[in-house]
Amino acid sequence: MTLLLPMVSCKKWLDVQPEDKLTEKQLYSTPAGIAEALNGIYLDMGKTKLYGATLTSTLMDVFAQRYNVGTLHNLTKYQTYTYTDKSVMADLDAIWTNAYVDVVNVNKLIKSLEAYPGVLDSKSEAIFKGEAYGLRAFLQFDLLRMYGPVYGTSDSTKVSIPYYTTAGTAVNDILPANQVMNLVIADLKKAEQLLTNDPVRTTGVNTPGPNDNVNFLTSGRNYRMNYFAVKGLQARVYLYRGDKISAAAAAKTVIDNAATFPWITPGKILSDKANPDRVFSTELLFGLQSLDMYENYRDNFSPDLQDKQILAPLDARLKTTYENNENDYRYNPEWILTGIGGKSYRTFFKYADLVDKTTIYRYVMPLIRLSEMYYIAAEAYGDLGYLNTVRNKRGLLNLPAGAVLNTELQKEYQKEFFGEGQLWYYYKRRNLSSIPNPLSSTGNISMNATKYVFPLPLSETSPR
Amino acid sequence: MKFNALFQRRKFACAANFLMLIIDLILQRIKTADQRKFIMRINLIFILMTTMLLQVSAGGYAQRITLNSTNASLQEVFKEIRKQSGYDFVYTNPQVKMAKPVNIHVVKASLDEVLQACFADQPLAYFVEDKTIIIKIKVPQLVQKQQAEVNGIVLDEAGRPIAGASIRVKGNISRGTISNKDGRFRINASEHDIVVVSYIGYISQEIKFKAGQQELTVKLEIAENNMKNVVVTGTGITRNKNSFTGATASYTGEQLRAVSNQNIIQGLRALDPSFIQIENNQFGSNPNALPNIEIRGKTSISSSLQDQFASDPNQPLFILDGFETSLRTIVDLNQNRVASVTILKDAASTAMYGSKASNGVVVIETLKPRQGQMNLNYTSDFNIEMPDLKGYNMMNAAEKLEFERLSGRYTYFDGTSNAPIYQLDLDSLYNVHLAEVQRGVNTYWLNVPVQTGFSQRHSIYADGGDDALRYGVGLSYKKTTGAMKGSGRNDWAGNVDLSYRKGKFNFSNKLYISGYKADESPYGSFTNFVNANPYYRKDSPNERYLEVSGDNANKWYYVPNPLYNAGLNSINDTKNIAIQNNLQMIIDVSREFKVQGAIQVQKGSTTQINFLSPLNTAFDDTSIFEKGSYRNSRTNNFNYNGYLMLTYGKVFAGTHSLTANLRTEMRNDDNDNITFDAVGFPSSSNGNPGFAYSYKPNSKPLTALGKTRTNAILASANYAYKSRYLADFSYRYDGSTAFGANKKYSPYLSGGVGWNIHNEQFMKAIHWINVLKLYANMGTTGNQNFASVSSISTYGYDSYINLFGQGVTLNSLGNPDLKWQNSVQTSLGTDIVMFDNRFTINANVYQKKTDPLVVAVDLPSSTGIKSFPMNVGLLNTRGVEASIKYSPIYRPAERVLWTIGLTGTSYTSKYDGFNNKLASLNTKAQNSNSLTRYKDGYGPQDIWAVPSMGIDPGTGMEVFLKKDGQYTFIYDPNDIARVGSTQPKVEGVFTNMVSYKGFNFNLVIRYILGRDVFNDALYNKVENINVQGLVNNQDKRALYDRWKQPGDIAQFKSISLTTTTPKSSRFVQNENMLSGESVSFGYNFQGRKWLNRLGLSDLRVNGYMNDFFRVSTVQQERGIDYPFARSVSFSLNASF
Repeated sequence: MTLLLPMVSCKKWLDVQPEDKLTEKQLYSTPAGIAEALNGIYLDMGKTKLYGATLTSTLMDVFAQRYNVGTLHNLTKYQTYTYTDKSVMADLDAIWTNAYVDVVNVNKLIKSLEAYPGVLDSKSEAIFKGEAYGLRAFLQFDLLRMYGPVYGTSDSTKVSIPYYTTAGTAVNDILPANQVMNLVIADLKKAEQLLTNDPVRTTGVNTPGPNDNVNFLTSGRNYRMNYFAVKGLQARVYLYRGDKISAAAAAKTVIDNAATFPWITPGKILSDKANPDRVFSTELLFGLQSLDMYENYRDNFSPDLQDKQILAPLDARLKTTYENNENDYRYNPEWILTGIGGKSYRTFFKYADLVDKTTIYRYVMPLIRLSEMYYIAAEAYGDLGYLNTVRNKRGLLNLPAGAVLNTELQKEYQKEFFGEGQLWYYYKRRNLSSIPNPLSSTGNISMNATKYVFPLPLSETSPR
Repeated sequence: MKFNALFQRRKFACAANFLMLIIDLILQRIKTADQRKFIMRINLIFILMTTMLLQVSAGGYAQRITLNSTNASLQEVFKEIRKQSGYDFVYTNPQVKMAKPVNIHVVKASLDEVLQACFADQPLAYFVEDKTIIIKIKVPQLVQKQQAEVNGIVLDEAGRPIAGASIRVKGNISRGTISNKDGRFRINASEHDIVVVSYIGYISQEIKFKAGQQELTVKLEIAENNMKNVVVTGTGITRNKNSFTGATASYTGEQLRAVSNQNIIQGLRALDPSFIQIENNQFGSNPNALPNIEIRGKTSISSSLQDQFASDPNQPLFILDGFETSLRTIVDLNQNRVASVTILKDAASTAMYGSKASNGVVVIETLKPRQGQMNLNYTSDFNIEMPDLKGYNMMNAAEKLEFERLSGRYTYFDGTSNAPIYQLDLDSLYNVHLAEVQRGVNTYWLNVPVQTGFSQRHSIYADGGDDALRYGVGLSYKKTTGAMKGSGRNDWAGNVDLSYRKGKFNFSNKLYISGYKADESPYGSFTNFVNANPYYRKDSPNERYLEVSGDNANKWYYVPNPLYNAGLNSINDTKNIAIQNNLQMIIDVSREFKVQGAIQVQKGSTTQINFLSPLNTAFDDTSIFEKGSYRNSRTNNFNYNGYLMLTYGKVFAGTHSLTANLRTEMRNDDNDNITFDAVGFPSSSNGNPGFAYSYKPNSKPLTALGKTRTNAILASANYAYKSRYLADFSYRYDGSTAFGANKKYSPYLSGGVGWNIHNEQFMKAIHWINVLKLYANMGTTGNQNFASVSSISTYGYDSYINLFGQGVTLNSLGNPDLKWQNSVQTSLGTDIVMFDNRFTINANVYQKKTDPLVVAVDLPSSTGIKSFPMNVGLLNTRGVEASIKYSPIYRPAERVLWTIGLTGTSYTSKYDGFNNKLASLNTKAQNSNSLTRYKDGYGPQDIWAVPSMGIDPGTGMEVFLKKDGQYTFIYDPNDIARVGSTQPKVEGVFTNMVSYKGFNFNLVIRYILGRDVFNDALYNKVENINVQGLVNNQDKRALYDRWKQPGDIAQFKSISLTTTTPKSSRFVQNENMLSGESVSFGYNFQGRKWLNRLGLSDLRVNGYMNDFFRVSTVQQERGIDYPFARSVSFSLNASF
């Protein structure tokens, strides 16, 4: 009998850890592991399926009618908002599913930080958590903007999306939009508190050079959900909700620290022909590095692509958008007529690769930029001055005194956020009933709530 | 020496003169009689292996001898005798020098008479062996032996006394006795006498009696060739069949070999009603595809919960020589090594395997070395596979062209309008095809990639030894050629078995090394040839396309030449090598106690290489840097496991018999796999990855590492009261890394009771009933064929990087509370044997309730969780299985037997408790056009589709039945209902076995009654032929049975419709089927005198035909990627 017992009594025998995967326990036992878990979320968000292209340069801007996507184009069903089309449905499903997968990762991170205490010091833990809360709000706010109702006063109580704060099998209810908004704001408040000691407030963005050592907590803060990114997001959220006072206050906090995010210099955008900083990387409150960027450029924007594939505006439309002003930093350097592939129109170069492969702003995808804070302030205060500040930094002159703020604001959104996906949300927030038609040089196409609101995907509704 | 002459006297069908010459040369050097015999064996094997068919006729020499010699030397007399009789003499010179001169005068005397006369006064003796007379020096007679009375006891393997065992003195038939009810006996024996103890079902033992020995204890071992009375569970625990309450079935290697010589799976499915091989219509008779096997239905929903190292969750557990093994090993196992197979079906018999036992257990024991002089056994199997293309009903060239014309292939239509300007091209295309047809082009593409496959296996096994040390050595090689050109397998294996017994200790070691190389056909899928049009010629294998032309909307299309890719030097093969060693030790501590332990270590490596030539049409649109692909995937596995067991067996007061076992075990499995891809090959490449341009861009090596561990403790007991009332109990506490993190251990319990009615007093009067046994049992078992990490959250890296380095994301969110899938099994059975074993019935009813099921459930995508393993619902299977055997002629003593048998099984499975939780799986099923649904009250085999009311004679469109009973032309997925079930009402086999002396005949016919099949041929090749599909050849019914004009009463929709037909009940057909699974003829030459002369102790020949006919009520295509084949085989078995 004594011989037999040890074989079973040994519970440790069964304590096997998978070798080709990491278990939660293994991961959260070291600070490096926790850093990898957080960085994994940023990496995932930066892939093509989310902010790497779909939610920025490709799909969202097709929906915003940026590109000349005619009936012969591969993406024509997107241009016509045919949400019942199989491939459109699949793409909208993929956005939804992948964004929520990142939400689960965030929630799991927050939960695990609590479940495995003492691995990080309290200061670092606050920053990790702060970023996580910020990301949770960021992701689900964008889902609300896509799949939720046009957030006007009357329809803010319409059902929108579920909001998740825990990882698990519990299925959350689909909430009215205003309740989701409350949860977004609560998460951002929490993030703001946790990020009070964010080094970005004292030592700035701290962009490392190509061969510098990178400190996970202090380096490259604008590629992380830092304190100012949270403030900027707050401004965006409040404005979407129609709370102009709070929006202005949040935007002002960032504007007061504008020196942390210096404006682009003509030297970096005009003179540096080999490695221009076309994304104005220094101005970013928050951006991601997307390793897929140049493949996406090759597949969507490169002038050698066929007409049915390339994403490029009608030349006349482009001219109108930039008011034919070649001095605009956002026009001439980013839209180039190459003649390659027989293209008689300018093609998009914002996300084209650079000559120097070690350039620090290679792969950078902008998500929140300083200029947006000025636009929000302008809209909230009704002050053209904020617009002029940005215009001056883009090589443009002040607006004439009589300029209509909303008109100019819309023009600015159109110019500033090419390839960044923000224009669609602007149109939706303003609930514009007509927007410029990209298929002809003039004219509009009409918009309505059916077009503005993405239907919930089947993968969400059928198991409910 | 005249061996050459000796052999030449026998007439061989095939000339082997050259061989004889070589043998003769060797034999010249061999002088002594002992060596001679050995050489004869070797010699014979050699001849058998090379010639196979030999005919022997009796020698033509007269046996009568006439001699007239006076004072002749013995040598001279020998010469004369040899001349007349053909008998050789063996002697030495000193021997003949001793001889006295011989005076002999005989006329036509027998050899014996002559020899007796010659040796009458000689100091020499002689004996005759084969055709040789061997001379020896006479030994003085021994003095009369001293006789003594000996007491003894006969025990069985568990130490229980055996009553009625026979005990006799060898060579003296008159001195014998039998053991009493306590196993005791008394016999007279003298020194050097050999006492033989035998009992049915046990190996006879010979004991040399020594002077002064008073007491003999004889422990008999179970004879594996006669498993009738013993249930081998594979755990080391054995149970007496008469006192066991579980449902099991045992088959000997002989029985299996009587059905088929291919692998044991084929034999088992014919012999046991509950052992069902599910026909694999996709892979047909591909020798490299593994069969799909179930025992008593399914217990799992096949889902994505498996990792790559887990096996099919509905597959039974296979135990080879006491240790778990893979289906691959079982299929490749040399059938000639198999001693017995036991199928454990219900809770009482499988609960010993606890968490792995839900799907039943198949226990295979290989031969153990036998005692005695070296025994050599050689088996040769030949097999011919002939593709069976009868299921295909394809059009010929003229029919196909006519079909194309009628379905609008040559009428321009762009979706909205006809346009006469393009019609010209189509007309000319039609005329080109028509010209070919009229020229007589009518290619039968189906037989292009197939062949008649010849396969053979040679295996040789030698065993022997004495009471203490025994050995067995085996070697086998099998070369299989499949029915598709280029597909095949080479298997080889070798084993060395040793066993050593000394007093209370018994060690045995089995070393087994095996390997295989599996080749897939370069012709790819058989479908490509089924699809090829008969009006194209097949004589240009180097053309990439058979035709490039326009379709009826003037879009370009390419008709690939199925022969083109087959002719390129692509590689698709798998190589494996495995080694395993089992070491077992048994100590008989006392009469009651036995300790037993074993360790197995196993290591294997499998490499799969897949190379596609850069010229392959798959790379037509690929850049030059990526043309051609090479993939290398290597899997290594290493595992060790062992057990330790205590057995106690005793009979109390002659009435209470108890056997109890306590057993612990542990097992560790390590698997790892690494895969990489290379691309970009020169067109002349031979598949060497070194010639690649680079690794596949943006790829990285793929790895998978798996480690699983289990341990368990098992207590098991069997009790019988006066062999009438029986009880079984077993408890197993199982630990596994596959269980949830919070539930590492799980208990499994089973109990059974039985009643041997025939042992009751009141039954003694009824003589015609031999056995009447009732038994019932109940217990829980589990299923562990799931990924081992389903219970914990895991993270993984991918190849993305940013400023801050790499990162990880959740691979899977674990469910730590996952309850493991357990089945509660209840079984009730009876064994009835009547009329002196002439009539036997075995019947079982059972219920297998798996609750809860583990299902990978899709939650709403906002939870971010896909395929989450959850406990949902249950699956309840209820069934009956029975087999009846009757022998109209039953004379075993004369070896004359005729037995007919019928087996049948029937079961139903139903889901319950889903409560719509699997709605997402159902939606998925609907989206993927699948026929299965997960709904309460319905089973896994149910077919779901929209009920169809047939084709409207007016329009040629299909009429569907709506849920509310209305008819409609519009297909609506909401109308989907259960329209049939693939589960047969009854399935079983009819067997007919005749054996007359050495001859035997075996016939196995399978019947399947009342199952529904969704006829894919009708769905894909009669309807659902879209514009692109018109290029492919189709079923004849597409031309003849489709609606053509108003008024046609047709089964299939309008011939001109190229639109998609949804799946409806119209394609579900009821099938009744009869198939000839096996017919075999055999002859055993045992007992023939000439065998002995050849040095053979046994010689058997068998001929088989497998799957030789099939009659079905449904005409459907069988073997989509690989055709089915009929097989004819022969086997020859010789023992020396």
